[in-house]
Amino acid sequence: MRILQINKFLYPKGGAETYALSLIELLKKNDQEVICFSQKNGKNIPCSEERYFIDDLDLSKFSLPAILKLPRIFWSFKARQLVKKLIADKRPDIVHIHNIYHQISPSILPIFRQAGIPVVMTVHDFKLITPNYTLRADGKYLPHKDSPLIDLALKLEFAWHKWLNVYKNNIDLYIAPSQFVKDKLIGNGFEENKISVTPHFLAEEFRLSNNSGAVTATKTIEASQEKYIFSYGRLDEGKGFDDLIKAYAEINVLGLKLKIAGAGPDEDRLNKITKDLGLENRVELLGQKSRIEIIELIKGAEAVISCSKLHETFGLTVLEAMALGKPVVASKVGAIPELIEDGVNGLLYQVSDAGDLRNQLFKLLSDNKLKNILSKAAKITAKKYSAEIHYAELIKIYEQTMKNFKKPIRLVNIGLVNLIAFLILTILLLIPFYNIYIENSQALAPYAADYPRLANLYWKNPVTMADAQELAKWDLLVLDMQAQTNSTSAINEIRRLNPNIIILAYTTANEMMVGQLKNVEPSGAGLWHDLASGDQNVWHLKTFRGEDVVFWPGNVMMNLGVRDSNGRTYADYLVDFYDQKLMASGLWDGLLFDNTWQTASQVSKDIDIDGDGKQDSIDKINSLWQNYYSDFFSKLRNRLGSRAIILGNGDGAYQQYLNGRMFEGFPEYWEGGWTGSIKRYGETEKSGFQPRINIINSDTSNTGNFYDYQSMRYGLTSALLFNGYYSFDYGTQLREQFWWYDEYDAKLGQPSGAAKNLLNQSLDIQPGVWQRDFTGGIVLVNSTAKPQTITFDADYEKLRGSQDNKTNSGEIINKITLAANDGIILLKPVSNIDNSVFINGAYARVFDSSGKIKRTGFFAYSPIYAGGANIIKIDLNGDKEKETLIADKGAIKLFDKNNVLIKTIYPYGEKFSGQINLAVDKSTVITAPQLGGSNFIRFYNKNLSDAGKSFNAYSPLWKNLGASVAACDTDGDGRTEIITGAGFGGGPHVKVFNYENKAIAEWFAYGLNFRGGVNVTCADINNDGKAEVITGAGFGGGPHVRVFDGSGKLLSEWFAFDMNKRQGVKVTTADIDGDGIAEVIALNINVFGK
Amino acid sequence: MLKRFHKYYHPKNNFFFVHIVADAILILTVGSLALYIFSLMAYPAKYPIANNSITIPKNNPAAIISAKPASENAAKKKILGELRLSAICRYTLAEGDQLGVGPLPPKIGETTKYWILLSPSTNYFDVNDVTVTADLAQNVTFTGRTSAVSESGIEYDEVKRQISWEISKLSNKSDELMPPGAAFEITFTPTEDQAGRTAKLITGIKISGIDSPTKTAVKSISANLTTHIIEDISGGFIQP
Repeated sequence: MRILQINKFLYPKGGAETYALSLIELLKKNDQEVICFSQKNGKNIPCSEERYFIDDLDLSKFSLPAILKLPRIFWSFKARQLVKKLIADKRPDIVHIHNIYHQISPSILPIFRQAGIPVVMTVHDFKLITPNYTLRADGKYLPHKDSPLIDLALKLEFAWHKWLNVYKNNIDLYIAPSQFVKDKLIGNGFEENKISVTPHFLAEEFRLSNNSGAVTATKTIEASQEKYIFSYGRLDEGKGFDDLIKAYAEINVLGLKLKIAGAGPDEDRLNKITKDLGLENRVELLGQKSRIEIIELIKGAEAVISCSKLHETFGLTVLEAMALGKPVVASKVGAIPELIEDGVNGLLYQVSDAGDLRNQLFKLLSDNKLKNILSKAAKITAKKYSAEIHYAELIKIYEQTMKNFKKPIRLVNIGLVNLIAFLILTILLLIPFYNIYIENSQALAPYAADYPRLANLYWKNPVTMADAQELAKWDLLVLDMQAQTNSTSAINEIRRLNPNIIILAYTTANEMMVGQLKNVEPSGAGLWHDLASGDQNVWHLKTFRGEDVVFWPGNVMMNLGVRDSNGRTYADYLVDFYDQKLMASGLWDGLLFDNTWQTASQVSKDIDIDGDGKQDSIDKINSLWQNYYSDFFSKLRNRLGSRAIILGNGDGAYQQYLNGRMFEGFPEYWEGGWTGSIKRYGETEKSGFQPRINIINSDTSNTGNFYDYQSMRYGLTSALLFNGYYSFDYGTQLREQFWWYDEYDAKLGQPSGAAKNLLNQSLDIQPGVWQRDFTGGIVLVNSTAKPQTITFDADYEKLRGSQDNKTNSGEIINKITLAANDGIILLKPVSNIDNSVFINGAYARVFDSSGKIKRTGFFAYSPIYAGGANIIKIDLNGDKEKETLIADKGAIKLFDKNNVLIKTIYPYGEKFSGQINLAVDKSTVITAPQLGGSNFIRFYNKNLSDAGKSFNAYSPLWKNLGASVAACDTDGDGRTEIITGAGFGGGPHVKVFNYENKAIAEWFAYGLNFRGGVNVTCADINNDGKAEVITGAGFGGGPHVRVFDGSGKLLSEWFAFDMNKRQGVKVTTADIDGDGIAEVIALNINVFGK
Repeated sequence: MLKRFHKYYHPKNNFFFVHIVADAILILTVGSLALYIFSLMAYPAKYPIANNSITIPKNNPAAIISAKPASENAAKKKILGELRLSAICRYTLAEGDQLGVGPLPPKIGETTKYWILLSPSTNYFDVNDVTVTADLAQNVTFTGRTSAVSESGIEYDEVKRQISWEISKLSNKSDELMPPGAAFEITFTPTEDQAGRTAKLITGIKISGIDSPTKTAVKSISANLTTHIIEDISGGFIQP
């Protein structure tokens, strides 16, 4: 299991850190993979993810940098950015949060939600329920000790995060270290079923000490000949040391001292109390002590006292003393009574009652027998808090959380009111707060799937695991609601394969299955049976003659508004049913209601809509029908809130409660054909319950003609004129297709404007040639009755498909003739390579992982830099701007975003004028000499200073042998491997080195006797989570490309250019089409001649 | 002979090894000399070795021009590196990749885009300070899209409607890992007067440079490029 542990400090500082660090150690010891996120700090434990850490923010010092960074406590964009990168690179299975407030901020939590990663949080203090993270036992709010301004900031921070509900919305499970914490959370509105009580555990040092504690303690006492009682902690007013000193003053045990370890703001006051009571010689304030010293002090003490006036979340210090066999006297605060049973394994006293404390101390110190009993019992108690038990419980929690994790519905988590309010707050606070609103609204916006957005209406039941593999390809899936009972595994599998998918349950509110129930659910059980089980005849829609009204054979129509004898309507029944039966299952993102009509008179004119036994007028039938439906959807929305997406298939009514509608059989004649349907589509996109989600469904009119590409395109391109999801299938009689068209793979990105009619440049919906621009291309629809020719100002590339080859030929065009009622998707041609090394000026061909050409080729050229140089444009320093690295004639030059030269280095000395091969791993630049240079691999950091790492990929004695180099994670372990290929003159020898420069795999990519060397690159080109190694034959070989896994297993191969040419082939990889999967790019520099 | 062999190479002969080494050296020396003489007879000298007294194969296309040598020795015939330029107009690459856009053959009033590919070469010697220039013909525009595998890229002079490309050093090595090449895109929008015939696209294509050993200017001129290109099976005749 790969677990991301997040705490704002990764060095011993307080209780949370003690636990978090021990936990990291424990998980690693048990072979779990732990990755970390925290602040940068020299005191941090070693962590390979340190490069992702956010800059240190020291709030304990008053400084300008700290003030400038202060907005971070409300919402840290930097932390979000870094965490995004971290999880994209490391892909954790689960996230375990500890303390993140202030320095990191909960801004990172929605990131995990969006990425589909479950989050658990250990509650180390009471920050979730109070601004100042501590709770006084007397119930008083304890303001921040340093400054009222800081206290105000904390209150604002608390209010802001509470307002956002950022914890509640994004934490899947809270781990409370005690029942006390759980109770407090529940009392403050946290859901009980989202809180697990799992106590902390004792660190190794205490368990080891536990075994030998008695002996060591004896030795210490003998050595020091000193008797004392001991207490430790931060010297805060809330820790109650003043009570202890006062209680101690009244105990007259000869030679018994009081020792208090710790530092803090209350030190002066405690010294004064000591002095006032004349105890200077008996009370020792020891100052800050190390952990080892504390252990020794506990061991030597007669008793340990915990006198806190603040509620403890767990009481680790108490447990540690108990583990060392020391009798403990503690105040009854927080979780302490869960550890100490008064008189059994320790003694308790009333908080802030120095008299009671004195009595308990006296009782203990005067009774050796009691001391021994308590000591033994304390040890037994401590044994229960072993690391083994804790580990087993925690792993169970992780597994259960992952199992129960349900991708949240991608709805706006922050309402408009919150955003506006925050905008006002932003204006008031002025300084760097101003952009929080924008960032925040983006962060919590619904998942913005790229276009085209695809929907599948799949009524077949049960859904098999094989079906799940196919169905996961769509962005929105509608399944019959009975899938909940017979296809749970398949639904979960779909979500696993596509965490962003929206899955809706198909249902209806105005019909009840009666005759078809057995056919639909032959087993006699299922959601339709459940629905029918509550059916009451009085809720059936009746004619004035008392007959059931039937629209679809086998179903009876239902009347949503008529009340039964208990005054309950069918609408009430349905609201409960959908809430408690469907949405409570956690399987669905929402519901799609069929037949959401505004009227019922089209079904029968004899309807008795109000149930008074009389025939109602058509106006009354329709008016009441509409009222009943509105009432139903209103109640349903009130009940489900934004938790559910609710769509209607019908005539577009009730949109104030619905997220959108389905346009079945688009373009429908009754909606006014294409023009009428598109008008309605546009209107329903504009208003209604947010977010808007519409489905445009076109079909083959029940002919099953999959090859009707034009109809499919016409519907798809029409759907793309607005923001809906598109479905194309058989028709109303059969909805169980996996039909996939070439157009579905088009990567259009996001829309960059509204659709417009090219014939009159108007936005008004009417027949015409409609164009909508996207970041990745354009969409054209000819809704007129005749062919239309369009000439473009720019070039566009047709899709490259295998179905309708004429339409999707991959050709680059500047003019097109569209048939009547047809549409087309065109892409912007590719013209550059980003984030990957290429030869400036080379002709690039783009392939998928199997060698199939994916996009039309292009010259990869940046005219401001020397042709033939190795070049990469990439954000090296994390400033979101691309820098450019050029390797040419023995030098490597770094240019900033404005192409200003920043630095030049000569990795192989200024005399070396050969070409240098480059690789970039995040912010590390790796170099290899193309020819000569003893195949020496060197590493540089983001500003091209020496990273202090280098090695020879092959024998250093082979001085004339160069190398090519690449850097990727080939084994999916989260660490980068270095891949090298021998240079010209060497064999096609590929080596894979781990982070310690140790060769972990090697092979010959081509024939053993070939001496042209081998070019290497790498990327995850098949989306398996591991990078593949891609090779191109060196000079003298054919343009032979091979793809290997990280161990050298050949996966695929092809000739990238004319196989008879013998110049070899350079290879690189880049995500050219923006689908998140890298393509292989073969580079050819020999295209300029004949 | 056999006796002699037996005498000197008998295993019991005390000078067995001396003889064998001496004879081996003798054989190698004579053999090498024979090979050298044979090679001189079979393959005439390729390069001027001394006094320019060389033989030029009949089919050698190297340019021979009169030039005053750098020294003040008497003027003699000098052989210079041959500077050549391959200039091709392409709608698709030789391997079929689409480069051009628009109607082929071109149509009056419609825009067709072509790419012009340039590949210089030299035999015998390196040529320095190479410059390629070419002019755009009527109804042709430079789109600004270029590519180059060389230190400098394509430049365009809007006033002269001329492209230029400079290469500081053109190597004579045929097996160079990265031979220089360049390309640029043009548009052609024919007018009525060009209907029914082919049209010039690029004219005045010249390459010039300084022959490395002699420091002498060398140049060549390439044929104009027209709409008659290999990919256009119709012959490049402009359609009405």
